[in-house]
Amino acid sequence: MLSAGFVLYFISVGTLIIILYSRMISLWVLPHTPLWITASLMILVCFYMISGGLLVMGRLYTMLSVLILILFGVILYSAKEMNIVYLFPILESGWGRVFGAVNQAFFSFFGYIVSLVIYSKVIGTHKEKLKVILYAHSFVFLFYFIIVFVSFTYFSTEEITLVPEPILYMLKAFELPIIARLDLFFISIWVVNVATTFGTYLYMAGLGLSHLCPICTKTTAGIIVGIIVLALTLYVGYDIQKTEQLNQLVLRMGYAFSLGIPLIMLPLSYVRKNRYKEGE
Amino acid sequence: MLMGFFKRLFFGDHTRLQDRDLAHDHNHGRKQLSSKKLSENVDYLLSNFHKSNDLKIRVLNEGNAALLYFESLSDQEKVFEKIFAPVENGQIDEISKLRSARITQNLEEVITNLLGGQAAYIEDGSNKVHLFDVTSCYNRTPEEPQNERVIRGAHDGFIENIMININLIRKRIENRNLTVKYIKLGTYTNTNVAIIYMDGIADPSLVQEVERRVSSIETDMVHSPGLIEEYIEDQTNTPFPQMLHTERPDRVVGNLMEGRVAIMAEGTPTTLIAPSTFFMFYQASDDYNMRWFTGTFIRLVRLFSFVIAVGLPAFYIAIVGFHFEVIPDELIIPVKASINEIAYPPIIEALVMVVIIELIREAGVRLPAPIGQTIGIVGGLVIGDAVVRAGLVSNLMVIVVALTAIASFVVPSNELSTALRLLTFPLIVLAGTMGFVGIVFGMLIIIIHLTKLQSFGVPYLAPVAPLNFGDLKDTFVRLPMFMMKTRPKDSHAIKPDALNPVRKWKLSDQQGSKPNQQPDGAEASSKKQSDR
Repeated sequence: MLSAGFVLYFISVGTLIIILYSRMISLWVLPHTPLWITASLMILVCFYMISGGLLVMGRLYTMLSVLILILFGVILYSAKEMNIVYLFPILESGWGRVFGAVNQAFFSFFGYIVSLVIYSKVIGTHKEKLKVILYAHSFVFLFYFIIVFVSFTYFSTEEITLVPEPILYMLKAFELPIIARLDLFFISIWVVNVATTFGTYLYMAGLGLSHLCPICTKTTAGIIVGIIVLALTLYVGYDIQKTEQLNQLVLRMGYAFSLGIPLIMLPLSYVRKNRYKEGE
Repeated sequence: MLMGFFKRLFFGDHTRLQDRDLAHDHNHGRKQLSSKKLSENVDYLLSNFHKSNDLKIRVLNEGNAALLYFESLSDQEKVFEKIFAPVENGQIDEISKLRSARITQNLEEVITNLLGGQAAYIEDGSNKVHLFDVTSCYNRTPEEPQNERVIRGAHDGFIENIMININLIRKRIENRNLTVKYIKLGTYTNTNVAIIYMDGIADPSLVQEVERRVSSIETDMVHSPGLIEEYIEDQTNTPFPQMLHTERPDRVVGNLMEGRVAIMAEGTPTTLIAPSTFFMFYQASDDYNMRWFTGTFIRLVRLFSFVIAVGLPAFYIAIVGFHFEVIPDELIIPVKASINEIAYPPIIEALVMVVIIELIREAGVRLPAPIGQTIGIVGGLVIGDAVVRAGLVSNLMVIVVALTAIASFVVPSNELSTALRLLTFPLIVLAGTMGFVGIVFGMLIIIIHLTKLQSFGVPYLAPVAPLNFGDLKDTFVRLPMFMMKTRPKDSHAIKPDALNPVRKWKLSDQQGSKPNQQPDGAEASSKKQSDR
């Protein structure tokens, strides 16, 4: 029952990722390409990616993480135009607003449920694993922090409310001697990161489904999940209202599955462990 | 004579040593005892060779003995020198008493040995067959292979004779741990295949796996290393070669010392090396003869050529077809002007030009060298120029495609270079339909594919995925030799450290001791070697 819930959660997160990515692509790069092409291409590539199993995915992600450094470099390059003054006044409207924004940004950290799902499949001591998880969290935090910092210092307080994708708009303004539009390269590299993210969710959903239905192998489970995601994506489409609804749904499910259930499970597992010991 | 007998009687261990001749031993345990009648033996042999006309029979001793050999396989001079000369010189009165002969009573063994180029001497009234090695071989000299030339370093290469090839390796590794295993492949061709490795460095399970795969080949014939490669490689549905081909002894020796296994076959100079990784195809022997600065620079250029060879036409098409805004303002007008005149869309232009380059290349390879050059000039200069003037292809496209072709030829390995040129096509199509996003997806698929590939259980992209910082010393860069202290992990060598400190003289200089001896430290390291 719980697994089914998790599978549903992973599928809906995957769908949201695909929708946001497709919308970004159609807005910035390929306005005339139909949704089903961008979506199905991404799903196919990710399916190919996960078909090699966890080991291949791990190797691939390690290699592709070099690209994040490039993104870093591009963002830092644009930091030369920043105005620290735009940040002030800090905490003008109190902590309440801050926590409201935290709620919005929490989505980006929900992905760490993956470390709980594959925890038992990774070789290493608990300490090593915790260390890696901690490093990863802090890296993501740093990355987001820099992005937010740079975009809030680049655009003035009035501008930032008008700009939907601050980083891309910011990069669009820069022109290197060789390359005129940095934003297009940024998006191209970002697509790879989207692929790794979606690949992870696809893998987890497929893993869950293959546990649920005994006939499915991991491959068929992956195919089924891929088809479901594609169908959901096409159903929602570029409709902003439906996307927003999905976004809210995923956020609530995220609180439940990424935060709530692990926190409930933790004391439960302690209790059960103790009971096992008494039973022995 | 008598003393010798007593010596053997008292001090010998009385076990009979067997002749060990694995290279020629392949009669599959069949046995046919020879008879005491000469004519029966000769008839049996003749009928088994289907009365082939090049089987020569010389009747000796007024019909009481016969010498059989294939005149096509044996050297007439050796026949005289080894068999007749001792008798004529009076050293010995009968051929059957020649010491150099191998004696057998199994006619099946005689057959295989005759096929190996030996001569068989049979006497009437005796069931012993005397075999003499009179093989003739016609070898070319071990000259530098045309496809793997180097500027500095060894200029010899393998030839078509497996014994000489192994000799070239043994000369370079004078060590008892160099192990050669013969396997006969092909039920009809009986090709000699050798598996060579360094015992104590190569992983025994790897050696076992290679042996298992090679010996499991059941086929009528094995005539090229390409066949063996396709029989034993992990994944056949891929454009990427998973075993390194080389004709250079120094390269094979280097790889053997890294703990890899070499597979050689009779009749071909090409040696297969397993396991191989992607980056091995970008290493050339020249890198290690250069200063490490230049070696690193060339390495980087080569790896960059991978990106150009695979992606440049696609990149150009994506820019021209989708993202004109990427080009800086000053360039837009010249680019646009050169494309505007062309009737065809850029993707057609690119496909046509890439195919034309392939045509020129293939024509140049198949034709004899003087005509090949003409084809190059006609194809490259005349057609290239005319096609632009006729307005069929834009001059920018010619530049792009020519650069791509050159970049693909930079790869030291021919197979990988072909694979790269093949990968250009799907990327061109993807870029022509989806621009940058298409290229990203295409590249992603290629990278995923490379990550999934394995060569004998070793990840194909080894030091990069899975990442191993230490082994990057010989991939993108070529660090100084004294830093290559350990063997690369991807070869699974069981003896990880490769060198003692080679620049020990410098350490001792810094400590300020013994300025009186060993100017270059070579002696010190060799002493350490012999101590082991």
